[in-house]
Amino acid sequence: MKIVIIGAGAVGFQLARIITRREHDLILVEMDQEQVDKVSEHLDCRFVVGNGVSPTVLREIGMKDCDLFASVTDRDEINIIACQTAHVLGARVKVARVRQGHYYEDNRLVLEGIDMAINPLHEAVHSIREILFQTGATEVHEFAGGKVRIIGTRVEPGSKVEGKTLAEINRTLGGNIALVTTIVRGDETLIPSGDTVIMADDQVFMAGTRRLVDRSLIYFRADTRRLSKVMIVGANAMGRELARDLMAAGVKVKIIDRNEEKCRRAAEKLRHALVLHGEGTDTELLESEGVKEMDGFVSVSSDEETNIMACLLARHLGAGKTVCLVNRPDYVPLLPILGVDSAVSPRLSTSTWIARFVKRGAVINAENLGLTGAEILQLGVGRKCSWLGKQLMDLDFPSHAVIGAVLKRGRVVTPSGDTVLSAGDEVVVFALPDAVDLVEEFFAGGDS
Amino acid sequence: MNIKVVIKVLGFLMLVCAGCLLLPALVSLLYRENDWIWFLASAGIGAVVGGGILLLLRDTPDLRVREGFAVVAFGWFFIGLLGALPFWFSGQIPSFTDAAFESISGFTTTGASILTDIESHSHGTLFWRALTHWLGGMGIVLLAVAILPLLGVGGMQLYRAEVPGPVAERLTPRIRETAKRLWGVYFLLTVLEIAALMVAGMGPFDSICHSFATMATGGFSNHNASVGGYATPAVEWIIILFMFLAGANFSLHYLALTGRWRVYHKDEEFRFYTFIVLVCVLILTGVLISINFYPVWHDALRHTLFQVVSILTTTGFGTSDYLSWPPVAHALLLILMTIGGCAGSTGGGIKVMRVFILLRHAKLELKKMLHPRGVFTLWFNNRALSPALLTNVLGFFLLYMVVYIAGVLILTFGGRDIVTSVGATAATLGNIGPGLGLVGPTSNYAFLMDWEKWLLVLFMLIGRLEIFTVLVLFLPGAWRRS
Repeated sequence: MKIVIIGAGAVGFQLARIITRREHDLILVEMDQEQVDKVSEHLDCRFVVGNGVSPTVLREIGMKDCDLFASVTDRDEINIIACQTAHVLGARVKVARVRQGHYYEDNRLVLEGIDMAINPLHEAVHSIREILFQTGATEVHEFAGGKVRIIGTRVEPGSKVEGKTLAEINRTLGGNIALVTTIVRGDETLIPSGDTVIMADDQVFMAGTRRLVDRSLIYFRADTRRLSKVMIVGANAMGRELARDLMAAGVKVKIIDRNEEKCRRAAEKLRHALVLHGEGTDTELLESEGVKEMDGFVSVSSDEETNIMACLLARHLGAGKTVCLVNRPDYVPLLPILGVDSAVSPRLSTSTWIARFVKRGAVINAENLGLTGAEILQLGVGRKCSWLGKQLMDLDFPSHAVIGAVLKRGRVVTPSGDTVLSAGDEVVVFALPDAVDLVEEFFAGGDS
Repeated sequence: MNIKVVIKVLGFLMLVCAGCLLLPALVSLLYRENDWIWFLASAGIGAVVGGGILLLLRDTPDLRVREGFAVVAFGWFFIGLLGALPFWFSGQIPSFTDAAFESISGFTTTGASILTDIESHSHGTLFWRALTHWLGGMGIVLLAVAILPLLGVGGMQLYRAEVPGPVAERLTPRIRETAKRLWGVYFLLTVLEIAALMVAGMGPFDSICHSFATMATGGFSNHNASVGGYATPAVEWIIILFMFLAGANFSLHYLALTGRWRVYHKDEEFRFYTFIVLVCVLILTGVLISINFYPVWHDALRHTLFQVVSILTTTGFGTSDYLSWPPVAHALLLILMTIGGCAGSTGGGIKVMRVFILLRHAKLELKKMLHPRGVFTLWFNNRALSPALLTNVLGFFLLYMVVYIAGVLILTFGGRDIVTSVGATAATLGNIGPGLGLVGPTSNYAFLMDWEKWLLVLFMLIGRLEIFTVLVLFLPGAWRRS
């Protein structure tokens, strides 16, 4: 597969890393020689220094046999024009990173030649919304059109599940529980077995149908607060879109920003939100605006440290669920320890999103599990797999991975030892970073 | 300021007005009255002065903002004086001050009269009174913009200076088209009202005159007892409806006529306008029924509705003497006089839109007390109002109040009682007509002293041209040559 990426910034680099892990021909186009020097030692691909919009440059690279063309520079206009030029020159799938809302109509780009526009902001807003509305959840994923739901939740100290093994919990609930597939403990991600003991502050990931997951969640968390008030720090595009989304769902929103101009613009766009000018870390302001009555507190300013501090303060002052925008992977393991409920990263998720277009054998869909590096993969079971017809417990399945849910003819089945997979089934697999490739090979069957 | 271009446009306006003076001359001839010659003479004077100016001043630069203000302010004054000539020449109104008062009261759609026995005057005079209303209602300058292609770019300056309300909307990209459409809607509604009144049994001459006065929210009637003189409920209901329409934004009527009916419901100003009418009618009807002022409830309802709509839209027609109602009615009607019609209507006063914005602003100020760090924007018709526009509205309100208070002070200084002073100032500044005290709905302005009449004439012009246009000319900077 021949893949061309325009822009070697943070997103382009991340994307290139994901793609080069597999055997594809990657050509990275970047205008800035310095940037190329910086990233070239980490990537096994060809570099072209030049303007990704230029037809001369693109023709030289060869667009006729290009399978995936992704333009991910910081500027929407460049990405759009680059994709359209590539379209004219014959590239197959064109993906553009377009962040500004006014290019969209009903969340769709109406431009010719672009197969998919990636709006990381929109994706992030959507996931924050899901997290806020799912009581007790710190993370929410959906697969197969929402049939399979994956929820992450944190075990509070003193919870009734603390100190119990998964087998014990399963017995108490009479087996009627969503499958616990992954546990994030500190900076360690593990695949549990029946005798894994749940500890306080564990982040537990469960998979199953919406009903099953909701019921299990109640057992894990006592918290059943309904979402009616949310405070947002950061009146940037993301904060505004989140506010608009939440207000449309009947939630009362307060937005704080330190920049007066941004506040003014937000007030001119959001009629029913209360816009406040001040620091998200100003205790007095948070208290006087009733942070302790907030069901959700979201910090999405461009300053990550402020986001973390604001969330910690809000938690301390009694706010409900806290969600924080973080783009540096280094901080991610710290968040659960510090007590921030959830984190989102639009920049990291952009790369995973685009990476879905890269053909990966049996993989239908893939998402990152939090920011841990582990992945949730939706895969199809191929006809050529040698193990077809065997029970799951007899399979030689990669050890750092687990099947979370099985889709048989569109119905969700919780897998157990005696489940038999047949061709045409789909599975949702949780895989730690070192097991991702093994899982893909396992399902690709005789192809490789 | 370029005086030449101002004079040249004034010349145009004179010609337009001279043309309009031919109509009452025709009416006069039709009724075989002998004052047609005076209308013709006045038209001749207008034509000679206007035509002379145009011949003398050929090449002039384009009109700019400053000249726009001067043209509109002086245009209204001089046209008012030209319109006074036939009254004066024919001896129907012997004093020139009175004639000018009547004419300017007509053009500014105030409807304050100095005639003591209206029914004794000639048809030509009565028709000209009504026609001054009709010309002034939609704006004689706007009419000139609509029919004269020569104004070109300067049209927008004139439009902005003359059309009531904080924002001058453009219905079409070209200002001349906008002017034509607004006049078209105005004309259509007037014709509809004439037809409706004739169906209800009013004679053709009275129908035309009353329709002119209604659509312009003027208030001159051909009867001493105003609309009440007909004692026909159907006529009153028709006039209530058309007064209400005339007090609303004509852009809305235009949009509705082109098929967009929902604009009425969507427009916050129109909703607030309707709300004010309903609340006041409810209160007043309740008060009048409870003291048994009208024995029949629907009489109480019709009379209060008529009075409330007539005063709020600044028309000033009457069906009953509201001064005989309890004091709370006087207070409510005084408030309505100050509020006035909608922006873009033919009504006067502060305008419903401005009052609405002011109230919303006050509410935001209160909210700011609760959230000292809050950043608030004022929303109007689903859009954030620009701070500049808000300042403009606040400034307008302040100046309106300053002129108002100054008016009351000057009149009381001359020895008038306070109620009459407040009533007369409110009624002329708001272009209503009948006020309170000695200038109430059953009396007239004839007894006032000459200086008082000229002061009120100034208020009528200030009110009709929405303060800024007139007061800006008192700034020395406006006259600088540049």
